[in-house]
Amino acid sequence: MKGAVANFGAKAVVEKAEALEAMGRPETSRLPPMAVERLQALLNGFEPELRKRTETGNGTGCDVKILIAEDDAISRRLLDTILRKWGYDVVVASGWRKGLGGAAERGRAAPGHSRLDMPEWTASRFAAKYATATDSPYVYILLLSAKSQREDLVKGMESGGRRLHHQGRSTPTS
Amino acid sequence: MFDNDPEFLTEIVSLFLETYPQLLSGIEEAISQGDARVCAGLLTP
Repeated sequence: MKGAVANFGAKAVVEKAEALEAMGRPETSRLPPMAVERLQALLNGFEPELRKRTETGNGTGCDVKILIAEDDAISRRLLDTILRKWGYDVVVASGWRKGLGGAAERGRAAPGHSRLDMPEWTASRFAAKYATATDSPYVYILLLSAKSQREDLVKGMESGGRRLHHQGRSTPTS
Repeated sequence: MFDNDPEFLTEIVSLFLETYPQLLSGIEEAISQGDARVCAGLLTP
């Protein structure tokens, strides 16, 4: 799925969000313009590295997939279905440990979502193991968390996160 | 979210019906043991 990088590009994602908003989709029409701008800025920051990975190759086909590591069955299924509808190739696992195995079996996957902590591994442990297993210089992890306490945000930063986006509002920490 | 997809809605509702008893009993157990951390973990999406 070499074209996945193009699908993951900032321009394509924002265009898709704008198109959905124009169609009156309720979940996207609630997105304030500032959120779209922040999304665009975030993805613009990621795009050069993703494009480089596509151009240079890494011996594994340069697949860019999204790994959902989520222990809640309902959230897992919702994310899986929605991301597939948006055209992404998705690897689903019920936790970080299984996610690493799933990613290895299916080829590289861009870790896309999970809770800050799950019963087995922490996000930081997964990130370290994933980077080692795939020889990847960067691991992009989007953590969606309802946790908003200062100590939770510090924990996320200690895990290597540059920004944490709290569900419902954005909480820049850099 | 369900995009006029009744089958998807049915699947999610079924998943909820399958999982909520276990979730509810976990919350009740955490409350009975006074374990706020476990309780919060179960309540957090």
